Amino acid sequence: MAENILEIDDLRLNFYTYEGVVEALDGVNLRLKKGETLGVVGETGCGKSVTGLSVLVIVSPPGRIEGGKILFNPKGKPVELLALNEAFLRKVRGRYISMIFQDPRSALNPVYTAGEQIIEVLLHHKKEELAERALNRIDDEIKSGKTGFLTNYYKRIFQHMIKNPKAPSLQLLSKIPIIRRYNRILKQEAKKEAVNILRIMRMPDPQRVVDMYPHELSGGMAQRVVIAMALACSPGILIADEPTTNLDVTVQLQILQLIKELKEKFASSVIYITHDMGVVAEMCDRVAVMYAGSVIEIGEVLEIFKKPLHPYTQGLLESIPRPGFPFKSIEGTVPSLISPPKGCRFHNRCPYAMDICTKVKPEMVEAEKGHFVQCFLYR
Amino acid sequence: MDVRTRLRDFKASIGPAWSELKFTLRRIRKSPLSIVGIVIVMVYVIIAISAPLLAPAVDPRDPYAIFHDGYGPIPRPPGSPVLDSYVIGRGWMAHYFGTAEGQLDIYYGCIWGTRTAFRIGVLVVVISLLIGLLTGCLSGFYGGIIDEILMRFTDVILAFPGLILAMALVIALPLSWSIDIGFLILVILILFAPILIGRFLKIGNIRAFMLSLLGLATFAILYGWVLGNPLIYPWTLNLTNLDKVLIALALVGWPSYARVIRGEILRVRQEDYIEASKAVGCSDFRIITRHVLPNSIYPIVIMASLDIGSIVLTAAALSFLGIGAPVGFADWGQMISFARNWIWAGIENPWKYWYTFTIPGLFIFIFVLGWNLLGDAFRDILDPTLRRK
Amino acid sequence: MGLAQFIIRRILLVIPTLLGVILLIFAVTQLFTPEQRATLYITSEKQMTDIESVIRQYHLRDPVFNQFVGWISQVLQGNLGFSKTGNGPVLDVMLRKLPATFELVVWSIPITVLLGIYLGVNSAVNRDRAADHVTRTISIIGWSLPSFWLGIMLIAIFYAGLGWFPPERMSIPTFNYVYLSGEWHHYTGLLTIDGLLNGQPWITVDALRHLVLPTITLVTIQIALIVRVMRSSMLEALGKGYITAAKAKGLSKGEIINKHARRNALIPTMTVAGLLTAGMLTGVIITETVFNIDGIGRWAAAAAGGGGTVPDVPAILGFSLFAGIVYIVANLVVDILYAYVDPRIRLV
Repeated sequence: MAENILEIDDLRLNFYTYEGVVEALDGVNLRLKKGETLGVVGETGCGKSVTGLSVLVIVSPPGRIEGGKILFNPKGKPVELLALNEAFLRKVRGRYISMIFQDPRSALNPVYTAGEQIIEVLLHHKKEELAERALNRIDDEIKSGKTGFLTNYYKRIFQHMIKNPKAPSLQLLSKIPIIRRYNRILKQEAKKEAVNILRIMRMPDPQRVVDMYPHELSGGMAQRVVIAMALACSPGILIADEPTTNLDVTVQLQILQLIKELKEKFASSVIYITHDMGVVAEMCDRVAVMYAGSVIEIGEVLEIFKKPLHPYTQGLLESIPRPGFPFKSIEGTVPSLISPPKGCRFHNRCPYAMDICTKVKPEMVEAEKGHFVQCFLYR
Repeated sequence: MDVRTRLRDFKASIGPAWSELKFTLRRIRKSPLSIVGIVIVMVYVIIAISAPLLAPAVDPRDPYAIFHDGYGPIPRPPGSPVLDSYVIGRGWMAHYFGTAEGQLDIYYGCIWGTRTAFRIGVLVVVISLLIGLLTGCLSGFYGGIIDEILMRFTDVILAFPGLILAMALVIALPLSWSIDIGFLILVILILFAPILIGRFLKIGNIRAFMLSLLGLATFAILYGWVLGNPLIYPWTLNLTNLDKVLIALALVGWPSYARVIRGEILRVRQEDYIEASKAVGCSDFRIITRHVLPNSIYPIVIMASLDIGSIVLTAAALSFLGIGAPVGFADWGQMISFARNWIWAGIENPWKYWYTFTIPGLFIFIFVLGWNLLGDAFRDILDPTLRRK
Repeated sequence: MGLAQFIIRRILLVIPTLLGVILLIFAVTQLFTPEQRATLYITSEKQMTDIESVIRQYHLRDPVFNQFVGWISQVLQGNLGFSKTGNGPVLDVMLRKLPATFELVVWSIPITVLLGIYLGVNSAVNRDRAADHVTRTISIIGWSLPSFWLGIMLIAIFYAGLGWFPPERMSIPTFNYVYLSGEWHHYTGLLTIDGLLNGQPWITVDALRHLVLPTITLVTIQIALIVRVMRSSMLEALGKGYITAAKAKGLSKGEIINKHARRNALIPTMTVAGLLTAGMLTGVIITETVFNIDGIGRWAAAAAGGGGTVPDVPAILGFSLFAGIVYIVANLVVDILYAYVDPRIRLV
């Protein structure tokens, strides 16, 4: 049985705004198994994006995580992400857990080339590897007799770097003008790696793209660059926050296929956040349905499509327009999260609402094997 | 309908506006700097209004002339008693802030200088604003060649260092000017009548405007060459130095407003709700007044309040240099100008007469500070995108 | 297109703008009488007595086009007329007075811009906390100070009171050495640099001592401009998507602020800094007057009628030409820097 690589327990998050306190996440429970693609669906404002941000602990003020646990378990030694200090978290972000975003062009800094931004990730997390490669290259150069003035110094610097990449002596050396040219060699190695990665991303003509600026890239190309940045260090978890929403439908398909392919190559687990049930059906193994700040149903994709348990999920699936059938929608609107309704947050729109639904929030129960739901109908 | 429902309806209709106002007031209260700014400006307004009470005029015909207590060249420190019997007779016992060279009372100059400062600041800003608003609106809304010409014009004025331009204008403007009121009225008629006629004949505003310019040109030629410039209703305008400073500063200042309002209009024009208004059939005028202007007005308000401070600073600088208010006039910059001589003559201890330049300088500084704080507060509070951060 | 192409295109654009400025100045000269215009062509006091011959010589009553040709050829030969207030040919007077202003600007602008950027970034990163409030308050206070008042106060305290930093540009021994001893070489015209180049470091020290107060005056007042624009553009940059992406990559706060946000925020700041430099070169009248520095600003003010006398027309026009060129160059430099920092501009 596959282990859980990520376990989110009772995650709570509030936004402190001028209008009041928005209780955005009200006890989110989620399990991500190793190697699977988990879809997270919900309408706008249900909290799915902010859940993704919370996993990386990069929620900015006025948002603040108020409670809960996030256990990350890539290799058998679980780590509680919310308890780590900032320095540790920076090691995790981009290296073990990565994220890709909805608008690829705004996720890229307009003043740096695509290549420079991928190189940034590589230099930050994979310095030892790059130093090794640089060392090998220098050894080759020495063997073929092409030694420069500083080659020996570079060799020593790289050897030192492999042992201890964050040494203060190296930080000092990186400020001295001529000696700091060793950085150039590192960057060259990183650039080669970046071109490699772009090729894997099925980017046409990666050698040229590496030197292009974000505004020169099309939407699809930009998204590939963002994915390249995220997968450059082969993370264990990839969080995809609606990566295809802003793209044309044809490009959407390409990117979805790409993500599927890459998952196999990099053996990552993927959390796919979207509002499009079609994408879920196409991409995901399991799916979690979110409403107004908590996960109300979670299970295998086919199960949920065949037999949705929660009234909201039922309403959601019924409201997908189909030719020949009358148009159905869910009555009412999402409640304001500033003073959310007590009990189950869906009760004011639920056709099966009972008295207890207005008073107590239901717990997550395993209604059928592997199929969890948060509703009093299945107590 | 009974009173209660009517009251409820009324409250509901003003509801959004009322809560926005309360929100604005709450934000003002939260920022101590803006409160300081408001308080400072209020204090100055009170001083300006109550100037005759705080510093009763010695010469009732010309209250802006600082009175002399003798004509000696050595300034006297704060608290010195008044010596001249005529002045004592008008109610003055002592020089609260001391006297400057020529025995001009500093307290009197500072109090009445507040009125001068408000007069200069407010008038210049209002005039520049109006000219800039008109130019910017024409430029932004109609675009094309009108925009190009007007913008080149403003570019040229903006490229020139403001202070020097102002000085040149002050020198160049004549001291007395014969305006022909009748001629002016005719010009305005000729400019606007065709627009109304154009509406009537349905030939469009730009065409009507061009027509009116053509008519104006024809009239000017007739008037000048054929009729030989008869005066219809002459009126002589006598400009004091200070008035010239006012006009010069207004002429130097309007391009910034024109640029800003043009930029805002160009931005707002692209918004979808303008397209929607046009699709529904709103006329140009209506679009400008009800949609474009209210959305572009915020930067202008901020600019205006910041500008009052900077105009007063520039005017003070001009007075300091000797252009502007004449010696003895109640103007802050004027009072500091005496200090100029000491620096060049190299006096050994200018600190001995600190009150002659420190006190008027403080008046200027705090006045400008108040308006700057106010302008900054406006910027933080009124900018709709920054409001709810 | 690449950066090099952009630069070439931009430099070529200077030509029509320069032409426009020249035409405008020439148009202004046509507003004056031929007698006044004659002053634009003479090069010494003596010629003032025989205006008629000058008028005839330069066809000042002839049609406009002839006049323009005549005037342009004079300008290109360096003859901009004779300046009463400067007591010499306009070009000579300008070149003589420029170094003083230039030196002041060379010391004030870098401090203003660098300190302003640092404070602006700091203010934006610590938004609404103590550092932000203090920075904004101090910069507003600086902006509200009348420059002449600040100058006088500084002189009164630091010169008359403490005797540390004198006003004017140089002390008497320096003056004697530079102008009277015959051993001085004007390499750059800037006393601070020339002092070292001439092997007389005490002159550099003396010049620096004289520069302290005017520089403090200028920096205190102008820094608010840079702080304000840097702060607001930093705040805007920090709200953008690439900042979240950078956080997700695991970069440290310092790297995010300095590498990502600041470079984007620098773009509008550069425009302001460029205009500030141009403005300072053409407009430090008050500071030069208060500190009695013999620079271009003070001369232009006197020419424009600072003493209430008849305006010195050639001086005003010569200064206008100078100001026009300064603004054109400043805009050019800003545009090029812009294109260097922001690759999106290079398309235009």
